[in-house]
Parts: sequence; structure tokens; C-alpha cells
Amino acid sequence: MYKIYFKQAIALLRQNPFVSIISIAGTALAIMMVMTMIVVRQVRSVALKPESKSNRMLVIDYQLYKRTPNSLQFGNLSNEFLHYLQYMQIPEAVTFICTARVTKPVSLEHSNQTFHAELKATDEHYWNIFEFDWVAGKPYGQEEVEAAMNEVVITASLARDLFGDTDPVGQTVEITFKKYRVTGVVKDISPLFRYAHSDIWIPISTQDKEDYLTTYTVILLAKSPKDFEAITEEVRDIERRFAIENDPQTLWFRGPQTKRDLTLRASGSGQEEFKKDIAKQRLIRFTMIAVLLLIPAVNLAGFSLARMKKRTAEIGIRKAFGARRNVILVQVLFENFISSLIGGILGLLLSYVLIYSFRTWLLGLSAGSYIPFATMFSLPVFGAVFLLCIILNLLSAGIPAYRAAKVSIVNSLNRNEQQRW
Amino acid sequence: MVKHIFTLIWNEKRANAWLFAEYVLVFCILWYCSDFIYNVNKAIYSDIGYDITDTFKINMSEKPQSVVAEENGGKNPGFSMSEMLETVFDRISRHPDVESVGASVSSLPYMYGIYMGDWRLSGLNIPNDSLPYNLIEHGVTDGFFDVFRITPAGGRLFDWQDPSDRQSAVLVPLNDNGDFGSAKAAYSFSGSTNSPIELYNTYYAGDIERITGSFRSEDDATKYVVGYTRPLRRSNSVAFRNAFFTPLDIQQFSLSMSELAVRVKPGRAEGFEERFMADMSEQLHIGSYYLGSVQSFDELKKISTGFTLTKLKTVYAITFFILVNIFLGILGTFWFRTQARRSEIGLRMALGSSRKKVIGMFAGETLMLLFLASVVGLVICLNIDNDHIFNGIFSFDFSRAIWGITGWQDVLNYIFAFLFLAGISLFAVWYPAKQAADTQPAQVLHEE
Repeated sequence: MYKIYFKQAIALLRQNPFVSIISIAGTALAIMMVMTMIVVRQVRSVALKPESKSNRMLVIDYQLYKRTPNSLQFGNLSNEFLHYLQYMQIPEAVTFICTARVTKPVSLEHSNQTFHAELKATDEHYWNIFEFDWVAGKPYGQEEVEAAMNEVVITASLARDLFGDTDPVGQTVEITFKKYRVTGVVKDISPLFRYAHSDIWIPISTQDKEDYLTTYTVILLAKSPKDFEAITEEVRDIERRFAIENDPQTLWFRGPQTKRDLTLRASGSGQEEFKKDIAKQRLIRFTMIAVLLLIPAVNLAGFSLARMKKRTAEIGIRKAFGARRNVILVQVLFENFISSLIGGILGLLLSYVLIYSFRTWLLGLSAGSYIPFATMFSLPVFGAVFLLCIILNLLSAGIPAYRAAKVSIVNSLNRNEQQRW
Repeated sequence: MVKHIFTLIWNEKRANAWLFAEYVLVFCILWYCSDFIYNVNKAIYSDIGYDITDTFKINMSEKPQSVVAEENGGKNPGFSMSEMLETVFDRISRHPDVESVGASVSSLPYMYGIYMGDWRLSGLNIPNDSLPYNLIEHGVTDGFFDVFRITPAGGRLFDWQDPSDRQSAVLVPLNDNGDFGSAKAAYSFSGSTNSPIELYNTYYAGDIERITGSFRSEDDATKYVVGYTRPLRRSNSVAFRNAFFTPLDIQQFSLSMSELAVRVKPGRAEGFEERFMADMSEQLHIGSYYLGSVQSFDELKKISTGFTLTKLKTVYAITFFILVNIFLGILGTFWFRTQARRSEIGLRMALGSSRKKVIGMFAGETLMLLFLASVVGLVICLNIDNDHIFNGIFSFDFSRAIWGITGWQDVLNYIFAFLFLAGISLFAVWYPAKQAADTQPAQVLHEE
């Protein structure tokens, strides 16, 4: 039966190519806009190597500390309070990343040539939370971190720039006037992976604590996403304990947030306010998607109504031969769905073109950087397109289909639609 | 004629209701897009007051403490901060490309550091001198004014030989109306110096940390205005804010706290960054400091306005999307309408209506519908606060009060939204209208 509907839908599309093109173009444009929003978000929070565990990750990147009720200090996490989070019970692992995005000169020993590179200072757990592809060597471990040994992991391209080959393990580089021994080389990381991307990794203990630029991000790896609530509660417990031990001082760690929530860029000066802002940001995003769908839906609904008017007689005959109301309803929706789907697929393709050509604007990537293929082509993305088509279809064909199904046989055979419609 | 158009609209009320709804929705969105596009572009492309051509920021970095300790065998380097700063200053200004050097604290354009405090203004003609005014403080050396070509528009610059000037003189940028700031203390400086306005430091005792009004120890000194400058904004995406310049004694500051900026000689800006890095890396490696990097202010401006431009692009995308949709909507609706009304149009033509009149009829119907929708849209837009929309969706601080945006903006928004929609609608209605006008009366009437 659906095959007949399908054939009929195609026939209808061909019957009036002008209107068909307009409605498919309208659908494609709407799906393109919404899919661009969704794919951009998807790309930013995708669970792929090296951030393959990102769906179990929670991030704390902001703190608010009050020395007295009237004085506050806020921003990235500071070294002072890190130890409160270090021994959390529920997460599988906790790691600290120095977030200072400073580029520091790197040079070979006894060489005046300097390179500017991005640097991350981490502890040993970092290498378990993120999964890197190792070209040579291995990461620094617990011992090296505890002993503050000057060991460094670098990317393959930096290794090529510095040493001319990708296996310089054991050689020495100078980073901000300190000598480091190369212990491992990893494949280059796309800047899309905010927490994994860097050129150089050094043990966090070798960073100077007095360095005022040193600010931290904490990544908590949960055993499963089910633990997120318990982990959040544990963070609140830590804050409560801090408040009791250090009365009248208080401390708030924002979140912790999933990578997906981070893209909302919510803010606040306390957990309650923050939660409200997350809800608000979600609402804004939802409203934007709704409006983007609503405008073309209003268009398409107008077209469908006009088209159905012409087909009243046909529907009357089908009804006279025993077609029930819901059969007519399903048929009209299905026929319309075919054109929505064509528009949807077209829209998705267009959104890929859009994202790729405007990646600097949409993803904040530099011109030369690449987007991993798998971040854009995934099941959730295709599922979303399908869902959007259904929503758009219901929005635009729902009322016409309902009306078509409702008109009495006599009236529709008589094409007497004006009185009822 | 108008009555006739109303009849036409009423006859097709079902299809027109959809179109009307779409027009209202789209009109409202275009209204806010217009507001945003106009004001953001105006902000981005208007002059900020600092002359940044041929200027560069010199970033000095500090070595890790442990390295310094190791290098000096655990001892401090054998010279004072002020000696070192003087050396740095001296060496930079001797570079053959450099015209002038300036140091400052939280004063450079396109940088984010802000130093502010609450001050009490007293003096002539200040309406309420017990009210605290929130002012931004810029500590600068004399070179700073040369680097950014800031000249007194009235009064004079600081007299660096005069100890009382070095202690208490201030220079204030006036806003576009020539007033001291957005507090609307309509106070114009008549050119007399040394006493027109006094600034008293008052401590702000709100519920956030006490903001000290000055980075000096002797904060509570009374300051006096010696002159005023043209309006200055820190970047293209912020509005004019009340501020004042105060003399900065470089000997009291650390390098990590202050900013260094240079102006290069005309024609020497090309490749200055690389040249300076190559020439000076050795010379500016002094004590625990080293030359980190050199950035041109043009580049800093690009980075700073980049964020705003991104938001602007989003608004352009929305505007484009809306216009294409309304185009498709009108095209489709009127296409169906021409087909449904073929016989009517044929009859009209047979009875002596011209092509022009038929096209005019369609156009008139569209414009009337748009006009009715725009009135409804106007009522909606005037009742929703623009500030909330911009803050909520774009996190863009575009408060009308701060930017001095008046009611004329509403008129402009209306005209923009209406004209754009009218243009696109007429463009869309043209094809179906032409189809209708091309109807051969004989043929259509025959079909009946």
C-alpha cells in the first residue's frame, strides 16, 4: 500500500513541478539551518579518539570563591583549591589540566631557533582519560609526575619541525628556558578536541606554582553517565565541607558539566542560578530551532491546503469506496513526507557544504585545520534529520490532512469545500 | 481601489491567514535583525579614537621562578625592577624603526584589562556631587599619547616636570556630545585648566569585593582635570565609558603588570614583528624577563572584532533565511491563486482590464497584507525589550541606554523591515502576476 502512496506522491510532485520545487527548496533550507546548528554542536562534543570517553566526562572549569560574604574572586580554577577535588570517590579518574593557552618558545638545546607552540601541563591520569595514538615512546607516569621530572610528550609535527624526524625519544628540548627530555610522540590532534589538543604536554608538577598564568581545568571521568548526578552531589559535599572548615569562606565549583552542556555557555554565580541559566540557554536554542522550522512550515501548510483543495473530489471518491478517515490521514501525511524527506536529505547535504566552507566561523577552527570525517557523519545526525522531517511534515501537512479526512463524502464529491473549509 | 483590495483579501481569507501569520512572525524577526545589524555595523566601523595604524604591542614574558633561581645560584638578580624597566624602555626606543614607546596599565585598546573604581565628582555645575560615579582609570606614561596620537582637544597634557601634576592630574575623554560621560552631567569644559572638576575617591561598599579606586597607595588624593580628549572607546564592540588618564610612573610597576606599546616610523610597519623579534630578542633578555612576542594592533583589532563579526554573520544568516522563505511563500501562494482565479482574471481582461491593472491588483493585495501584518508586528516589537533579545540570544551587551540609541532606531527598524519585505514580496509576486496577466481571455472563458 505504501508503495502506491509513494508512486502517487512522486506523480503528484511531477504534476506540479513549480510548486514541488518551491516546497522542497523551503524544506531543504529549513533543514539546512537546523542541521547546521545540530551538526556544529555534535562536532564540538563528539566522542572520538582522543576524547573517545567524552560521554563519560564531566568538566569543571570555573570557580567562585568568597573570602567574606562581600568579596568574591572568580574565573578558572586556581591551584589553591585543586586538592579538594583530587580524591573524589565516585569518579573512575580525576585529572587536572593547566588551561593556560600560552604559547611559549620551544627550542633545541644550543640553538637560537625558537618555535611557538601550545602547552598543556597534566598529571599522569590524563593519559588514561584521553586515548592518543602513539607514534613513538610512552607518556610520563605517576613516578615522573611525583618527582617533577622534566619529561615531555610532543606531537609528530612538532617533532618533525624540531628534530627532523618523528622518533626523537630521549633527546632534549628547551621549553621556557627549562630542559625537558622527550619521552613520547603522539599523532597531531584536531583543535576541535579542546582538552586533548596541544603541541606539548609536560608533567603538571614541573609548572611553577607562582606563575600567575597557571589556571586549571578538572576533568572527572565517571564509570558511566548514570553516575553524573552522584558526582555532582559529591562536588556539592566538598563545597559544604569547605564552607564548614573555612567559615566564613565559601567555594563553588561550576557544574560539573558534560561536554555537550559546555556548548551552551551557561553562566551564573551559584549552582541554582547556573542551573536556571542552563535551562534558559536550552530554551533559547529550542526556540530558535522552533522558529526556523515554523516559518517554512507556515509556507508549506499554505501550499498543502491549496493542493488538497484540488484533490477534494479524489478524496471523496476514495471515501465513497470505503476508505476510512485515518487511511486518508495517513495517506496525505505519507505523500507529504516524501517531499519533506527529499528536502531533508538535500538540506543535510547543504549543511555539510555550509559547515565545511564556513568552518572558521562556525567551529572556530583555523583555516588549515581538519575536521575528522566521523564527527559529521553519524547515526544521531541522520536520526535527527529524519525526526526533523517528521516534525516539519506534521507541522505543515497536519491541518490539511486532518481537514481532508474530515470532509463528508457528499460535500467532497460535490467539491463543496468552501462551506466547510 | 483600497476597498477593492480588502475585498480581494477577504475573499481568500484562508490562504491569506497563513501568509499574514508568516508576515507577522517574519516582520518581528527582521525588526530585531535590523536593530542588530545597523548598530553593530555602526559600532564596528566607527572610529574608536585611538589611532592604531603603525602601532604594535610588545609582550614581555617572565621566566619561571625556579629557572631564575637556578641561573643566579639562588640569589635575586642584582638590579632593581625600576633599573630594568628603564633599560627595557631605553633599548626599545633605540630600535631604528621605533618612533615612540608608551607604557600603561589596563589602558591599551583591544585589550580586556579594566581598572575601575567609584569616584565622587565635585566642582562646578555637577548636579549631584554626593553621587558616586563609576570611572575607569588608565595609568599611562607620556609616550602613550604619542603612540596612539591622542592630543588634548582642550586644556593640556600632563606636565611631567611638575610633581603635583605627576601626583594628581587627570585627563578625561569626553563623549560625542562633549559631555563628561554617560552620567549625563552636562558639563562642558570651557578650556580653563587645573580646576574645572575634582575627582574624589570614594570606596565602593557593595556586595562584591571592595574596588580600590586607584592603583596607587595614596588613593584618596583629590585629582584635578588638566584637559580633555576626543571620545575614546577601548574596542569596536564596547560603548563609550567614563574614564580618565592618570600619569604613570614606570618605576613603581612591574613589567608583568604593565603594557608596552610602540609606534613605528611611517612605512616601517611591514614585517616589523619579525624584524623586532630578530633584532631585540637578545637585548631584551634582561634578568628574569624576555621578549615574548610582538603583535600589531591591527591584528589585535581583528581578534577583538572577530567575536562580534561572528555574531553578525549569524544574524545575516537568519535574515537571509527569512527573506528566502518569505520569497518562496509568496511565490507559491500566489501561484495557486492565479490558477484558482484564472476564469475571474479572464473575465476582467475581457471586460477591458489591462495587464498592468492585473499585475497591480496582485501587487496591491500583497502590499496591503504586508502593511496590516507590519502594524501587528510593530505593536509586538515595541512591547518586547530589545536589550533582552540581544543579551539573551547573542550575549551581546547592547543596552540602548549605554549606546545612546534613541527612538529613531524604531522608525529605522520599521522602514528596514517593511521595505525589505515589500521588495522581496513584489519580486515574488511578479511571476504569478505575469502568468495571470498573460491569460488569454478567450481561452479561459472557453474553459468555463
